[in-house]
Amino acid sequence: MIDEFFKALGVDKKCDDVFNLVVTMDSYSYTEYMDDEEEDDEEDEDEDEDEGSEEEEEEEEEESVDEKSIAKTVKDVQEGKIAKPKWMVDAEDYAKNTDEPPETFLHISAKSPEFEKLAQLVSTFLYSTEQEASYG
Amino acid sequence: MIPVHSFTDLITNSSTVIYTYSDGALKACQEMIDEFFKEFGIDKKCEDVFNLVLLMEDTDVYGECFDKWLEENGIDPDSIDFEETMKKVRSGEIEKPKWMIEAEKPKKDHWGEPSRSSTNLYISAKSPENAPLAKLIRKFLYSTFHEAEYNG
Repeated sequence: MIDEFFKALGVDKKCDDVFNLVVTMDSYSYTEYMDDEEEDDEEDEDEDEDEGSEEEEEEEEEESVDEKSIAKTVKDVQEGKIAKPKWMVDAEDYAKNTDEPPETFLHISAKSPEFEKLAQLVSTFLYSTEQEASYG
Repeated sequence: MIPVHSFTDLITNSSTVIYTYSDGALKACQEMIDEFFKEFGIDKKCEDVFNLVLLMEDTDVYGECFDKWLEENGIDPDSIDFEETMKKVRSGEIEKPKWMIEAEKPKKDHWGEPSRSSTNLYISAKSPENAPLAKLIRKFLYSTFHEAEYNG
């Protein structure tokens, strides 16, 4: 649609020149995947090891740090600041094949400040419809 | 993921209906198009290039008001084609007639609560060269997917 806009307006640009478009799940879905992965690894490595309370506390602390770092990376990806890391791609591939795949969202950000308002308006338009289901 | 309309078709037999409300899309569309023109130095407004029309999805409501209007005004039902009128309004060729505006007036449900109808936004170009763009804008708007789950 954006390419067609530029074409119709006689603007010698492509969507990729002006906007970053990224589809992601919400941050929680990535965290959930990473937690599952971590649990699987731990089970494989430390199956017979007993864990003390001190270790548990450390682990919990690490998890919360991870959660924050995952959320930060997801946000940076959504804002087009960094490319999608492999673990995000892996998480999406995994989620796609689950019984209840999580929702995905298209994030549009401008590559230069003058197009920020336009990026915001394109995104607002995309999500301007509301939907609800009625079960009879 | 299954596109909204396919999913509606698919699940109708399980008594599940998905309602789509596009009321907010009209203003959002105007603002987006106006900003495109402004940003790229085009001295035009959305309304110069496109017709945007918001219509209820349930055409039966329009049909009922159309029949009532014919009867009240003693108009021969064969003199006006309902489907043709709907088509012309949808494409922005004509303004909404009185009976359509009447049909769109807020209603209340059985419990006296305001009832909301599914609405769709129709976008058409005022000149043929912009017809592909109009089609793409509408496709973009309805490109999000919605999934309903019904247990029971």
